[in-house]
Amino acid sequence: MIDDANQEGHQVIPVLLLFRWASLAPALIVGLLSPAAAPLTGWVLLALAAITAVISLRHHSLNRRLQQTPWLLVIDLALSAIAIALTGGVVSAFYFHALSPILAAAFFFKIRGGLVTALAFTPLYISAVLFAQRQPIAQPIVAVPSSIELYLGLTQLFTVYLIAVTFGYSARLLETLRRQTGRLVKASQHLAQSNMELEHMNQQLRLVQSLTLSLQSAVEPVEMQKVLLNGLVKEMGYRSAAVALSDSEAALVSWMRRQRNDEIQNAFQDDAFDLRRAKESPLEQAVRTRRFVPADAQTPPTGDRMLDQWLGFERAYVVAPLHLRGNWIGVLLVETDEAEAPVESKLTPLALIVNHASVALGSLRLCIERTQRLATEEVRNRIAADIHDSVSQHLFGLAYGLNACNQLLEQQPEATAQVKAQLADLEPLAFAALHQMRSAILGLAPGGLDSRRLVAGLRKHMASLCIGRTITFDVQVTPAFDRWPLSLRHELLLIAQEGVANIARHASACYARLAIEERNGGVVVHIEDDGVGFDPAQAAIVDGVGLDGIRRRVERLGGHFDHETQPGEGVRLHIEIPLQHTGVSA
Amino acid sequence: MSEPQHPIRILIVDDHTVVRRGLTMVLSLQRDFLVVGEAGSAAAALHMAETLQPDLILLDLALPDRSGSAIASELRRVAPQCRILVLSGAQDARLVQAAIDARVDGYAPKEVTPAELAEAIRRVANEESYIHPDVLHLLRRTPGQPEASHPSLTRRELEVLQLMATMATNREIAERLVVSEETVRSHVKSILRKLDQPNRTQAVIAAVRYGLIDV
Repeated sequence: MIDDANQEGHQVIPVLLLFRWASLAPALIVGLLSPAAAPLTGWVLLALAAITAVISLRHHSLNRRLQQTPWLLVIDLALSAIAIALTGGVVSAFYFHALSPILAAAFFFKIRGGLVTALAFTPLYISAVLFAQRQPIAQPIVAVPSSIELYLGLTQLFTVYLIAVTFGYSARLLETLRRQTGRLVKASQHLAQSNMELEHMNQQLRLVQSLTLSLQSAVEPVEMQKVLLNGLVKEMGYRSAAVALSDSEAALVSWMRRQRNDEIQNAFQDDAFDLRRAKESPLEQAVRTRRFVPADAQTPPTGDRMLDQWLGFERAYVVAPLHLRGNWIGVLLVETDEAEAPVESKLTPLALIVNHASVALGSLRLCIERTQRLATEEVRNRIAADIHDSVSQHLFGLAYGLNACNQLLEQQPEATAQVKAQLADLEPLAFAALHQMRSAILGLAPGGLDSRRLVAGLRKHMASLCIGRTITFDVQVTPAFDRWPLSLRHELLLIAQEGVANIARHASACYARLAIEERNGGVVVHIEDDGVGFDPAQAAIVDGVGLDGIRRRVERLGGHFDHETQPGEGVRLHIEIPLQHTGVSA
Repeated sequence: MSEPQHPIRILIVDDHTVVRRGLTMVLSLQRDFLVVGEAGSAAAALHMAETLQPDLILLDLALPDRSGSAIASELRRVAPQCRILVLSGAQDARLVQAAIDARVDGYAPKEVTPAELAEAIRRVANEESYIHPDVLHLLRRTPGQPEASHPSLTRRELEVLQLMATMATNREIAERLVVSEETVRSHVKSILRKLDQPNRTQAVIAAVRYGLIDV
């Protein structure tokens, strides 16, 4: 309140001082026009001017003292009364000067202060007037009739009260106005802050929204990781951020990092990071406790020198584990611009992002796992059907054939030639069953069929069918193979195996080549050899194995099959299968 | 085995050459069998059944053009004297059921041994019906089978039914139960009546479905 009053005082003090000086003007004029108006006018004027000068020079300290001890005004009132008493009472030229303490009181202490001062002044004023009437030294030259004197005195007293009330009221209005202005300023400051917070929340929401949108469109967690890191650094303004996904119970893979003024960096050197290497670090603690772990700039985040270096944190940071319904999805590391570990309350916006990122990444992961499981199931069913359709039938034929051979030998021990012929017939069946079985096993291998397994499987297949012969077999499979749908991979395996079996059985080739490539959004398979070839008009077809088998498979996949051969010139197979048909964009 | 006057003339219907080859090798060694033809499709089977009029058709269910069950009645029409024995690797109870519902005379799975198959062919050709116990297993697991109320059979009838499920003949059943063959025959008649089934095989299948016997 005192501060407020002081503030107000500072504003009105120049006005009060001006009034004080101006109130001396009537006395000056009277003194100049009629020097004999009151004998003491000149001296009093000098004295008051001197006092006013002192007040003007020292108004700061005087003002402060006045705020603490308002009765000091009584001195001013008394001086004014004395001036009036000495210069003619009701006709004194110093009446206006006597108003300045009233004004000051009204300004400083409002209506009540003004009225109290006016009341205090009343007896002083009356005494001064009476003194002027009685003392010849103070009497004016011109005598005023007593009726007019009374009238003047009452008017002047009334004016004193009027000024006290009017200015006291004005001061109160001013103060109210100032308070309201202050409140308005505060409110506007508050609004500005709210606006900033809203803007901040808006950024978070935008990030959350882009995460959600990316959930709808992203096919790979990598896309979503990028959205998350860009959002944290670009939108939320963090210094840097890194994210990794959980692989198994204790490993983090798919590391990705983004620093301010830098592009996204993929893959920490050996990618898979075993959590056991991060003993007692904030990373390990966050994963174990499933809570945010804030840390200061001095604490290394993972405890692994290489990884810490790759992360490159220089300030305080937070390690946030990502979870969805009890499943550990990964971990997010966010670097701030502070040196000290951030306090709990500052983590709220980050917690929101972490929640959404967990939901987004976790859901996508569940989707992918489910799709993979379904795809695996589909392939298993297909393999079961394949086994039933091919392997079982071959084994049935083989078993019955062998049974017949046995019976024949029992019934006619001399019929060895016939048995031999039958056994020779049965041999290809055994090999066919073998190769069908091998393809089924390849398809069932844990982790599914990838390009590496395919190449190895085909080489093995060729070797097993060419025992005792030398053949150079060149196999090339594009790494893109691993991205294609499991069912397509399995079909390609069967196609390649039939191609290999054809070469091994019929071509008598020294060199064979098999290539699987991705071209123009489709799969292209080349199978060729330098063997005996055949007359295209009489394409030899072995049961279940042969060009027709390949053609049937390719056509079922919506593809195109071509072969080119002449006797003695080898065989070249050209196969094209669209990827779109199998539901995969190239 | 005494050599009959007329060998059983058999038509093999299977879309796999390897299977036909194996079957032909084995069946040709039986002096009372004569493989008269091989068909790889339903169309070929109907054509050959009509022209060859075999005594028995060894029918696969999974044919490239139509299913074996679907052509069973047509085969009967074009070759009225012909008996049909299904030889299938189908593991699906519904496929088995479809074949049984098509009133084939016998059903053997592809796991059947050459000796069992020869026995089955002889039985079916001899106007008996045959269903391999493994196939009954499959039927028992038919999904959605009604836990319906079933006709009440005597303890003796249940024993007979149980032995019928092993494809035992009346004489074998009589020996096992130490009763006369005549008694067994009357039990079988009573069972067929109570279960409202036309023949032994159908009765066994019905009994399996009702859960009256274990297989």
